[in-house]
Amino acid sequence: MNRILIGALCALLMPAVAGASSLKQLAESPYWQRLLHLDAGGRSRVDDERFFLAGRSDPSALEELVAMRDAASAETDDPRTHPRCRYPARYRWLQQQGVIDAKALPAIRCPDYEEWRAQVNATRVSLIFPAAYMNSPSSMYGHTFLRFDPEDAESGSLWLSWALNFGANITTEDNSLLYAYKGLFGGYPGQFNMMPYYRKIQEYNRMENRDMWEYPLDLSAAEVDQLLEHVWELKDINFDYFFFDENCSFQLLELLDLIRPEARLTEGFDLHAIPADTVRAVVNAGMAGEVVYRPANRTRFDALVADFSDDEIDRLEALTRAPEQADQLLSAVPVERRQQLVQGAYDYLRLQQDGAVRDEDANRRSYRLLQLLNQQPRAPLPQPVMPTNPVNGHYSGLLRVGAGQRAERDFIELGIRAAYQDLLDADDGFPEGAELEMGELALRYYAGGNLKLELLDLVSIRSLPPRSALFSPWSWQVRAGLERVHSDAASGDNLVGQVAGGGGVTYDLNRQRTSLFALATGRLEFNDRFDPALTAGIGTNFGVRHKGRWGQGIAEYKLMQLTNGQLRQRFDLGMQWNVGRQQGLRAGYVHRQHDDGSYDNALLVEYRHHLL
Amino acid sequence: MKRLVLATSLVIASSTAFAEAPGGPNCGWGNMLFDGSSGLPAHVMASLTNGTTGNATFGMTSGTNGCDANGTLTYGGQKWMGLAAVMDEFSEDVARGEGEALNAVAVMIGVAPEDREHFAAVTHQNFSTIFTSESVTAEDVARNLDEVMKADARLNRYAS
Repeated sequence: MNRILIGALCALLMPAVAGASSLKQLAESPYWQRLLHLDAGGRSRVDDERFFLAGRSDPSALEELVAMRDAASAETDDPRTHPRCRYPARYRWLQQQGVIDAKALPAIRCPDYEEWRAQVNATRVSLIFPAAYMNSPSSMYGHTFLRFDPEDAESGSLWLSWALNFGANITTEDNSLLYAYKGLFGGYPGQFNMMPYYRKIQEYNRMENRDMWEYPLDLSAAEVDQLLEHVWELKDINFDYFFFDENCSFQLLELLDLIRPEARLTEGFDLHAIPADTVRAVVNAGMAGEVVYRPANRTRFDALVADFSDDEIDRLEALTRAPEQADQLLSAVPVERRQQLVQGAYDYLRLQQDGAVRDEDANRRSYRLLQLLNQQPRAPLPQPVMPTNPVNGHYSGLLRVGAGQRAERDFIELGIRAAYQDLLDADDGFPEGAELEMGELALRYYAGGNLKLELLDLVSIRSLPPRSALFSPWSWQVRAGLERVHSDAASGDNLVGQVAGGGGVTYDLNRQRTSLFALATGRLEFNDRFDPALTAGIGTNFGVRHKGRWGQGIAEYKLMQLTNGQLRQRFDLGMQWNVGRQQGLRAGYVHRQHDDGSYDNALLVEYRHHLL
Repeated sequence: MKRLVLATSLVIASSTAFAEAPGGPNCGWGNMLFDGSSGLPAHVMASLTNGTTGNATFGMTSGTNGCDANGTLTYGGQKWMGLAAVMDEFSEDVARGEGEALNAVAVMIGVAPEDREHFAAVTHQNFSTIFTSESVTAEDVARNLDEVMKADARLNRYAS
C-alpha cells in the first residue's frame, strides 16, 4: 500500500520526460548509474551477464536503459522472469521518468517478488558490525551486514528479522591454499544472500564468540522500500569478491549510496574498504541512531563469573564434570547464588562443545545442568558492561614520524601502515591483547647517509590471550615481510626477507592489566649475505605487557638461533602514551647483541597519528 | 497478520537452510538437542571472506527443500519448522524461564503479546515434559510443546 502511494506521489512530482532525445541524459543520471553499479569509468562492478538486459556483460548505461524500456513492454510469457518483475527498481524509476508508460502496458503480477516482499516485510534497517573475537586477530578485519526489521518487531522477535549479507560463494571442494588465494584475489563470485537474523547471532555470538554492534539507520519506510526493490535485482547475481576493496562492506555502502547519494558513503573506499571504517563513515554521515550491543556468549559468560571466588570456580568446574553430584556441590552455596553457578556451569560446558561434533556424554551433562537450572530460584544475573563502541576506537590507517639514534648515529624515520593495531596502540574499541598489522612500511634516513627502506611488513599478527583456571588458549604470532638485520660487522644492517611464527602461553598477573607471555618461535630468512641465502632458525620470545592509565608498555626479550650458527639476541622496551583518540607518543629502546660479540643500542621517539 | 507473515518466513527460511533429503543429516526435524553447529564456517578464510558454503539462500521458497517437500515431516502445520534451528537456545531459555529464543518461538507460533509471559511460565514449568532427554528431536519437542499448550486453558488456542 505504502509502495503504491509513494509511487504515485513520485510520478506526480517527477516531470514527464518521455522524449527519446533525453534518453541519453537519463542514462547519465547518477541514480541509473548506481542501479547498474557503474564505477567512475562507466564499467559495472557486477560480473554477471544475467544482470543486464542488453544481451552482453558491461553494456553502456544507455544501451541498458533502452533495453529495459523495450523489455518492459515485451509479451509476458513467465511473470517470474519478466524484466518488470526481475528489475522492479529500474522499472519504477523509468516509469517516474516517463520513459515507460505503465498504463499502456498489460498488467502483470510478479508472484515471486510479491511473496518475497511479503516475507521481508521491513520498514527499518540496521547496520550490523560483528567485532573481532578473542584469539583470532584475523577477525579484526571485521564484517558488516544489514538487518531488515518489520514495523512491529517486538522485543525478541529481532531474531526473526532478515539479515542481508554479502560474501564469497565458496566451493567447498577447493583446498585451503587455493581457497585463501581465491578469497583474497577475486576467484570466488560474491553474492548477496538473506537469512533470518538468528542464524547470524548463532554464527557470530555463539560459534565465533564475537560481540555484535547494531547501528539502527535513520532510513524512512519509503527508503527501505526503495532499497529492497534493488536488493531483489541483486538476487543470485555474481560480483567478483575482493577481500580488500569490493568486499561486504563496500557493497553495503553502494546499496546505501543508492538511496542516500548526498552522504557520499563510498567516497574514499574504492581502494580498500575496512569494515570498521565503513561503519564510521555511516555514523559520521549522521545516519545511525543509538548503538545496540549484543555481547558474545563468551563475553556473557565472563561477566557471569567475574565475581566468582576460587572456590566457586572450582565448584563450577566440578558441576560441569559431574552434574549428578549437584546436591553435594551446591549445598554449601547460598540459595541466591545457585542459579548463577548452575548457569555458569552450563555455559562453560556449551562453550567447550560449540563447533565440536556431537558428544553424547557432554550432552547428557548439558541436559542434566538444564534440568538443574530449571529448578533454581530465579535472580537477575550479572550482565556484561558495554565496552567502547568500535566506532570510537582509533582509525585504521597510521602515519608516524620519529627521530632517534642507533649506534650513535642520528636518524629520522617515517612510517605508514594500512591497518590496524599493534600491541602498543591504544586498544579502546579493539580486542584486548591482539595485534593485526597489514602493509606497514618504514623509511629511515641516517644523518649524512641516504634514505633506506627499514621495514616492509606484509602482515604481522600476534594474539596473547591469557590462560585461566577455565580456559587455556594458546598464544601465537605470524609475521612476514622485509626487515633489516645485522648479519656481520662488515656489512652492517642488511635487508632480508623473512617469514616467522611462534606459539606459547600468556598469563594475567592482575586482570588484564599486566601479563606475562612466552613463545617458542621459528623463522625462515632469505639473506644474501649468507651462503646459502635461505636459512631457518628457532628461538624464543618472552616478555611482559602492562596497561596503565597513561598508555601501554611492553618489555620483551627475543632470541633466535639460525641453522648457519648465527645467534641473535634482542631486548625491546616500548611505551606509548595515548595523547588523543587518534594520536599517540611512543618511545622505543632496542638493545641488540650480535653473533660476533658486538652490540648496539637504538632509541626512537615518535609521534603516531591514526587516519582513515 | 504481520506475525503470521514473519512466522511463515521463518519456516521457509529454515526449510531452505536445511535443504536436505527428508531424514537427512541436515534436515531440521532430525536435529537433536545439542547437535552442535560444527558445519558453520569456522575456517579463518571463511570468516575473512564472510563466505557461505553451500547454496546461498535469498529467503525464498523456491529450490529444493528436502525436509518439508513431501509434507510428511511436518507436524501440525509448518509453523514448527524454525524450532529445529534454534533448539539449543530455546531449551536453555525454557530452562531459565526467559530469553530471546523463547520469545522468538512464541512469536513464531503466533502467541499474542499479552500471552507471552504466560507462555514462558508454562513452558518453564514443563521443561522436562518438553525436553525429555538430551537426544530429543525437534519433532518431539514440537509435539510435546503442542501437548503442553493444549493442556493449558490460555495457550490451547495456539496448539494445533
